[in-house]
Amino acid sequence: MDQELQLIERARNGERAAFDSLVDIYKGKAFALAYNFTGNAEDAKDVLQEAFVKAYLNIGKFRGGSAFYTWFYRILVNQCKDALRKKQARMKVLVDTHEPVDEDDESPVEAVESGPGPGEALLNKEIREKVDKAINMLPENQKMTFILRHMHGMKLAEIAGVIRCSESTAKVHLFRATKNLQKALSPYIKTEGGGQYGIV
Amino acid sequence: MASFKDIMDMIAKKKAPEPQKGFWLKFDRELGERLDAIDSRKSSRSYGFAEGLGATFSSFFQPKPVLAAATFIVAVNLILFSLASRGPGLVSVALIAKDDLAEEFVLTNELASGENIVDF
Repeated sequence: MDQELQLIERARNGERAAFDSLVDIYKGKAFALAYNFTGNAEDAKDVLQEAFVKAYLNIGKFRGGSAFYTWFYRILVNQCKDALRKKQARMKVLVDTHEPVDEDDESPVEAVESGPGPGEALLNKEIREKVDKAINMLPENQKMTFILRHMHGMKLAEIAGVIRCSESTAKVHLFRATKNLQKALSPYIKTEGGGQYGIV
Repeated sequence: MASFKDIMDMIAKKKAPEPQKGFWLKFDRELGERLDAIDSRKSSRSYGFAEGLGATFSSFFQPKPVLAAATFIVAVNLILFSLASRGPGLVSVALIAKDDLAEEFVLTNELASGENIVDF
């Protein structure tokens, strides 16, 4: 951690090698977040590069009031949102002009099977696709809160710092996201005693 | 069918796909090029500023006839302006007539020693 603080300080003073080291530290997790949000590796790569460029340009403004990763994730999240808006606008144009969308692009990622867990074995491919689709259909802030909480294990206070809202607002986003997912996936959910999945 | 808890567990366990071989090499190369471009822009901007500042100052020391003439004209104008704007009360002591000068000295001598000139 001390080493990271030193890197941040050196990067703030304009040392390029220190910034490169920070890129190496954060690029893996940040790519995962960008991928979870954009849904494909090529967009995730573009978004991540843009976020690092913005961080490099603005690192002098980082005052250290929050953790560096919270500051960087904020930049990344904003880039993800921008990319998604642009993509939605492009898709709208394509739909309006009845042009076919090419979905056969080879993805530069390889699917990783983490091994079948006890619950995972029950889920078939169709449900996984529906889950991904349902998450992608969530409103921006709900989607981001949900991804940061459940896929990246961040605390509500950290999420609030990233998406710049109060902790209670983040909690509301998370609650609504969970409710919306539950609703969207209701045809595929086995109801046992009518219990609901709460926010953890 | 799965319970919603199973689905949430699946989401939590879901890992981001591992990028293909060479992905990070390409990523690092592209990002490096972009950061290099920013660095070179930054250094050329600061070099340009320093160069411009130096050129401005060095022009004052170059013995070019036009520059010398312009400097002379500006200097003469400044002298004329300062002479023209001199107020009526500001007269050189050398220009005061002897009688007037004597009166000034008398006035000054009339002040009691230790008397504050401001109160007077």
